[in-house]
Amino acid sequence: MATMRNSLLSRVAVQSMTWAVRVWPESSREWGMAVLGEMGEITELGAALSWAAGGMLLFLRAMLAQFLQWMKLPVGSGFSGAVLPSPGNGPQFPKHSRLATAVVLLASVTLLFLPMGREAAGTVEASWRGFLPSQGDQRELERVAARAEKEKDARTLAFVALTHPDADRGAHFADQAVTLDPSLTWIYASRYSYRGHGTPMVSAERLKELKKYDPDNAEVYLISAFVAGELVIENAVSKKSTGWEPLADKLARNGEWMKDMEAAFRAPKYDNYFERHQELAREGWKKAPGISPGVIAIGLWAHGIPNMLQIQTYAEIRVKEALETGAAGNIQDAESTLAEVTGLGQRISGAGTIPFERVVGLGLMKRGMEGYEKLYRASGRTKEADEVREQLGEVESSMEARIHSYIGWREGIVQGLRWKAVLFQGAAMLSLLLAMAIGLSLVVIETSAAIGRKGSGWLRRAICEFIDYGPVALLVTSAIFLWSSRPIAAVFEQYRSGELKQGEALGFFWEFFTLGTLSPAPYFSEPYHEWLLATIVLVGLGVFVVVRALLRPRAHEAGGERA
Amino acid sequence: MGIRLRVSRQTFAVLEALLDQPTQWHHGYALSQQTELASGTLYPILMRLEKAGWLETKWEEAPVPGRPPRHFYRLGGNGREWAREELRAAQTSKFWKPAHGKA
Repeated sequence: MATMRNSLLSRVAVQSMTWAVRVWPESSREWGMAVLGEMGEITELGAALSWAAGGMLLFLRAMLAQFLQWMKLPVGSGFSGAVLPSPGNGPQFPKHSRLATAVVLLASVTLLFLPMGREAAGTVEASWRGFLPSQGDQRELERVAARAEKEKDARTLAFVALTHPDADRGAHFADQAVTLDPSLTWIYASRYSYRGHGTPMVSAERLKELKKYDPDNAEVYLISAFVAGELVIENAVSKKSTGWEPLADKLARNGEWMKDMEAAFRAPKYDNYFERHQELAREGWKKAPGISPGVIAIGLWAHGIPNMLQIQTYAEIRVKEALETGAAGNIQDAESTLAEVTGLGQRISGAGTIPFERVVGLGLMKRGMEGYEKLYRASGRTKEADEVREQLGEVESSMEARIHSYIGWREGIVQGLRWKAVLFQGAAMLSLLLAMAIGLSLVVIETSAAIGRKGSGWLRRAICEFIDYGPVALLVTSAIFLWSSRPIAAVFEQYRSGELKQGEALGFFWEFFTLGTLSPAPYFSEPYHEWLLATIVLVGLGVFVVVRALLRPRAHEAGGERA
Repeated sequence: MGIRLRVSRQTFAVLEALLDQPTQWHHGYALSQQTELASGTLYPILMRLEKAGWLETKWEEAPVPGRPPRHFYRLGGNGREWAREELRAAQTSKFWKPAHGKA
């Protein structure tokens, strides 16, 4: 039988009980002392340990009882100063107990932890960060990717590749996805524009694979040309030679760029893969709903579309070349060169998924047709020139109509979203401010209780008032925040379920970024304005609480009694 | 005047132990051994009995210097009566099971 004497365990047991008795709540401390008093009489080690364990259990119960009693007292009051709020000269306390305050605060927090609340909070937080992906988003994407790697799920890996904010990680997952399923090679085209200035957008090997994968698609050659031309353009911009002619000359001297552009203008089809990207994003988001909408929007927003400046530059080179060929008397060659320009314009305007892209397509057609008109007039073929002029007029009207309809459509989305977003942002901001102010007030009043400074000055009165009404206000603003997030949540849900039309989804995600700039006042569109507004709201709230607190004692003096 | 208590099997065991030698003072460890109740169960019962006015308590200095004083317990006059009544009522109940093998 193990004896108690000189055993390390027994000493630990006695020391633990001695410590517990020292911090034991005063109201039941004698029972702790009673347990401790017996320990000296127990000689068997096992019995002593069991006795001490029972004592510790008793200690925990006593602490819990003490905590519950403390929770029932008004915020800021201790057991020694457990006086109820009085209108007289005594210390001032909030009317409500800690328990009531905690319940209301817990209700607010619960609202924000509902799936809808989490999505709303994630959305507004992403908009305040300017939609830059957070560390949490990156971790979630890595987690999704790890699972997909294990399950050899190529489509999910491709989704992560197109959504991951880190270019290198994105490329890594893209390679894995393509290795598992070569039909996903198109994702190389979607991610090509992720890199910063002066660095290669997409490796030569991936470009080669892309060309092998979809040799009839102008998009793959346009991307290849963009990669080759990017450095030329950057150099031109840095040397401030931004005019068209020096830039065009520089690009025209780049053989690789010219070769890719030529292939692009001759390719029989145009597909920028955006629809496939959207489908992948939809699938991936359904599988990983924890990813913030901001990250999904960023992934779609960053989808690579051909560089329109380079396309136009090449078109200008070709039109110029056609006119020179025509002037030299070779009209047929000139016509076929111009046909390449109008042909690509037609394909882009017909198959482009982005309104701006379609307008650029029409612009290319227009440029080519202008070339035709000049060519025919210069060669005396007035009738054909007039016919082209007529068609040109149609293209111009179509362009104008598309621009206007695009502006109207965009305005419609912005207007439809504005006030919903203003309410959403306003409720979020107010909730955040209230939460911070409540947290600060609780710390101040509990700290003052702990250090024994209980006063009845105007500041204390104001804090007490705020602690009484702030949590309820927070609950109300949290509920409004959740309610105001419904239209936005509905759009996300429609997007995930595929109910949202392609154009609408695209438009929404485009305008989604305006959420961040929409602030509680229509003229507040910059981050510093939002902080200014936040300060105004906070000061206003403070003034209200102070005025209310100052007016209250007068009511008492006039014979009124605190409820 | 004491308070009527909701008496559990463990409480009956403690009352029986206290009634064994009703006028004598008992200490916690002896009660624990007699009832086979752990300290975590025994003391809440003693606390309840004391709060209800059934139990008398006293402190006694330990005979060995440096050791903490010990707490002693016995049922008060009324407490003994109430305890006997509760035990009698329980023994007539078909749900009664004697504590720790006692007949």
